[in-house]
Amino acid sequence: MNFAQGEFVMLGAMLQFYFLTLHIPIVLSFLLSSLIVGVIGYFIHAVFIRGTRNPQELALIVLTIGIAMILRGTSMLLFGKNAHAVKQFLPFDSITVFGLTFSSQYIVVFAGAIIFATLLFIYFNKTNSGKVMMASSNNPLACRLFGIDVEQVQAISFFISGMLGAIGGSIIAPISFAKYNMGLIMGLKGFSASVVGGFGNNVGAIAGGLIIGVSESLAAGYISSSYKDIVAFLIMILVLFVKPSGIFGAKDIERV
Amino acid sequence: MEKKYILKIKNITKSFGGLKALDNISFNVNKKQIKALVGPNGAGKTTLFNIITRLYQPDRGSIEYDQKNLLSYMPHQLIRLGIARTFQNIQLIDALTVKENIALGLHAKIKSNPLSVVFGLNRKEEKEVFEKTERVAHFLKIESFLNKHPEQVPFGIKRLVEIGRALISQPKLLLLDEPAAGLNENETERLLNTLFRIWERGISILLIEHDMEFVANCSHSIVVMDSGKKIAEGLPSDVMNDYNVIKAYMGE
Ligand SMILES: Nc1ncnc2c1ncn2[C@@H]1O[C@H](COP(=O)(O)OP(=O)(O)O)[C@@H](O)[C@H]1O
Ligand SMILES: [Mg+2]
Repeated sequence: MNFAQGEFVMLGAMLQFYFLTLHIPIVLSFLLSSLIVGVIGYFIHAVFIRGTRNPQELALIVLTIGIAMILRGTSMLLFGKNAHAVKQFLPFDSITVFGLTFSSQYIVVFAGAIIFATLLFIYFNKTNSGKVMMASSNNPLACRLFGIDVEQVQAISFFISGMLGAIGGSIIAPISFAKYNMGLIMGLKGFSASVVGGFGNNVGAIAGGLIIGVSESLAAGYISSSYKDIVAFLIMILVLFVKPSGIFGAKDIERV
Repeated sequence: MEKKYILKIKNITKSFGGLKALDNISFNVNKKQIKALVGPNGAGKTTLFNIITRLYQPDRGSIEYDQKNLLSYMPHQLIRLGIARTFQNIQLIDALTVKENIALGLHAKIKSNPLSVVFGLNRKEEKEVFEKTERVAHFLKIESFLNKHPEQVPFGIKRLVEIGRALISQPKLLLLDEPAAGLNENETERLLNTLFRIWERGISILLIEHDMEFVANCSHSIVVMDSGKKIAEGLPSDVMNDYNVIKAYMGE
């Protein structure tokens, strides 16, 4: 459980903004920001989390919330409180499909989401190291005793989640702008999506994200865009009442 | 001189808050021996396993394993030293198939470069893992469950899968925490038989069990524990006699 995930998104967006002001080509700044945030994720694990041997879940939550605050504050000091506009990825502004016109960046977001979800799926289901990562979070105790350095696997997973967060951030930045506090709501919505879908279930998280995203758009369209942000949390609370393990969730994992 | 024992536990003491879970426990496990650790619930048996497998740090005492100071190792290094265990509450990985769960026991032995694993280029190694898994499954007669997930197989099979995961690493010392708990008569019979076949391969076994009859049938030596203390050690026949005397004395 990492409550700093939203801040990885913010950092990705911010770095994308920053590198573009330095006139670094868009693809390169995209790669650079994801790599840098990946490394930041790795170091956060090395400095704050690796030291707490066998931490309690609650301790981890508080710890990552604290880390999120540090990242948010640092970003505010470095980049200011303003929302920064970020250039879109494609060389044209908008595109018209079936009479609907939308910003070209939506294509990038859509393609990016599909590509990276597929890559993640392949990684976790087809590759050895992905399976080891999944196994380590599923049952760290057994993995540790069968030769897996669970701390190291965790460090790598922090690298990957930093990188993925930043990829998301730099891709959505042209739509959402880059702002120091954007990570909070991102993180909370990401959390809601994974709760709705069922914790620890990748397909569920994607489904949860889709459910929340579509409902938000509907709420914005039919009610008012100012109520949009409430929808995610309403859905989460509803799901928690009806099926606490999430729509695609299994039973709770028991203790040793 | 070659030592007779593979594991030497000496003066191990461990407290949780005010509770003394282990109080000055000492005994050896000899090479190619089946040693049983018996005692009522809460005696400290699992705690001792957790210390041997380095999940807990003892307050006092030492453990020598294969001429090494075991207490200087980390949990993830044990499998390479040749120590593998099973758990009282089964600890299989639900996200993986039975086959993958067993293959996990080989993880430490495989040292391949990450890229070849990611792209699946290392066919030779993959084949080796596959063959070893098949062999272990055959040994335990659980071939038909290989492609299922743990939650889809009967309880008794889960216990065997855990044993399979331990065996595939070719351990020198196998630690089994109540392997017979929850098994029916048939399954228990099968477990006994499996245990002997494992022992025939020269593997030393330390086994936790609370059923005296079961232990008397399968072990070469018994340690009896109660409330964190060792109260008896010896041949099954001797310990059983003492045990009966105690039981008679307690008026059971
Ligand atoms: N992590 C722990 N924290 C606190 N107490 C523990 C812990 N592990 C075991 N104990 C206590 O130590 C005692 C021995 O437990 P255990 O080793 O599991 O007994 P056994 O396996 O012989 O049934 C019990 O009273 C148990 O509650
Ligand atoms: Mg126990």
